Amino acid sequence: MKTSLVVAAAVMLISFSASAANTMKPHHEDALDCRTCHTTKGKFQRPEAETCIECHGGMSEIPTKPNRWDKNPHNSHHYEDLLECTACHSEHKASEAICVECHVVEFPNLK
Amino acid sequence: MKRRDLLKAAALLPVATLGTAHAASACKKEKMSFDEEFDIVIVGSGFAGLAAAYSANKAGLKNILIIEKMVAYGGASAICGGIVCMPGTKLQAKHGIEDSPELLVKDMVKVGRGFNHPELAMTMATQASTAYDMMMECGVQFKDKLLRLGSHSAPRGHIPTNASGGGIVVPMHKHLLEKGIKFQNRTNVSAIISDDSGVSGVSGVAVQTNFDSKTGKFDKELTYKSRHGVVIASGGWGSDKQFVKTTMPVYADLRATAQSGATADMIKSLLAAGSLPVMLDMYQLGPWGSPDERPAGPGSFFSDYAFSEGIAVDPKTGKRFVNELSSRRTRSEAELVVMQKGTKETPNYPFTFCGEETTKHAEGFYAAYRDGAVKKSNSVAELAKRHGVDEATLTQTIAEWNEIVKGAPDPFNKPLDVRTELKAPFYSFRLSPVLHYCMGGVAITPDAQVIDATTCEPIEGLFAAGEIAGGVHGMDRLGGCSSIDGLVFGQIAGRTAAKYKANA
Repeated sequence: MKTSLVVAAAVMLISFSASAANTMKPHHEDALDCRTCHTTKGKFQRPEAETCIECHGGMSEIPTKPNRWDKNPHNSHHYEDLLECTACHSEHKASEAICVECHVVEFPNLK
Repeated sequence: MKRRDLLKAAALLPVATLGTAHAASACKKEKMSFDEEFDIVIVGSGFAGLAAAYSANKAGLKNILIIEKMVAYGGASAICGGIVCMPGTKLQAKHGIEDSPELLVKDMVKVGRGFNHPELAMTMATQASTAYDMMMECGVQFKDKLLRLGSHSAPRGHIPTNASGGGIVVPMHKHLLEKGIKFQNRTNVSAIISDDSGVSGVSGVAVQTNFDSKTGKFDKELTYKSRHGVVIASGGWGSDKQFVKTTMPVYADLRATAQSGATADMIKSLLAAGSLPVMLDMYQLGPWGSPDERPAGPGSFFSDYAFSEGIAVDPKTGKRFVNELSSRRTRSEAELVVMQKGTKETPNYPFTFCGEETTKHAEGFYAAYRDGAVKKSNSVAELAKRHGVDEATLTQTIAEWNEIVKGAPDPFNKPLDVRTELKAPFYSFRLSPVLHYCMGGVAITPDAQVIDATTCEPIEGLFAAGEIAGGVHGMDRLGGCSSIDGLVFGQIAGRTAAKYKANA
């Protein structure tokens, strides 16, 4: 009895976290379903950069907004366009620019 | 968690087998089956790894894999300033600069305090120009000038046009992609594998794919066979607090310039595979660190100019305490002594400062001043108050320095290329050395073969290049020389591995 309650609670927890994990960016929510980005068969994989680029274009087509730190991650002299989109951009959790590991910088417009 | 530990243990098993291979007869010989197979697997995508892939490809290997643990490629090489000190290049010839590999080695041995492995130092210096030719072929562009860095006898610092190591690793990476070389990021190497199927030596690696460096989570545990042995070009372990603390306890609290991927995992795997370590407790410190910014921030660039044209002062005495242009080790050690005059909680931070004239041509000044690491004082009184120095003494120190600028002898013998009067407003920057480079690593031959700790002979099929290998620079190193170390020994490792055919 006790065990089945724990199992039920665990199942609820899993389904809750699964639905929480599926939050999407507002501009994606209406237009896309899971398989738009998760194109590989079977288990969901992290999308390739090409999947994002297909709609958004490459880094050179999406300039970073000017900022007080003069940092332009879409034209970084460390990596140029060798960085995957998902290095900084996430869909189901908050995005985080990898430059902050070394640089003092903030990107309020980071999507 | 339990499952992960189990997988880890399973992955380590082959190494244990290798470690005892030469000693134990109880060792079970069993042919391993690998999940994937390559001509050569190279661990690390910085200068050394890229150069190894370049030369392995030149030597005719086709199926080449470069593994990177992090999301971003290039490691420390991508984020460094990218200066490469090379004697005898076409650019030096164009500028009519007289230089030679012998002269570079002389400089290296002086700064390395004689602890350099002479053959390795000479190999690096004599083959430097071939690394230049490789970079040219890959489309790397250098500025049309050469920089003389501290303790170098000639201007031999080649600066990428974008003043970043990215100006080297990105074109090389793209060149290698065109040649069909595979790059795989988010892949952690958990062990170096010896197949043990009657063949001695290293034959592959165990990897964790889709590895998250922040959490240590991964998707799959796989084994990759490498027919021509394995090249380890994984860099240093400067951000591995535990390993630094254990090898050199007095450096435990120092912050490091290394990126977060610079952990000790690969040096541990190399040791587990029986490699001979050299100088693992030797670290280079950067005297341009500051408590007021992250290690290697913009202030560190600015401070090179303040060191050169201004002075550095001990707040307790109000006086200069070192030749501000001495080697990184001499300066850092002097700074640490000054800091220790305070308490652990509030160290007596030395500071360097210059006048406004100097700030006008100092790279990094704008950002360092904007972000608060460099502070402006409109008078000696304000500067003295800011740093807790006796005003009268500081006034005298500045007056004495201005006499030296005019031609009086300097008790510290600092070379003065630019003579600028030190006057208000002053721009000052507090100093606190940061851990910058792992001098030690595994012992290698001039052919980049890793040396076995029990036999002092090369381990079959195991090659290392760059920061993970030790001995080239001795106890400390010149600026702009880790880049060329990685590029030269990377090239050598790729060539030597291509010739190694035990598992081919």
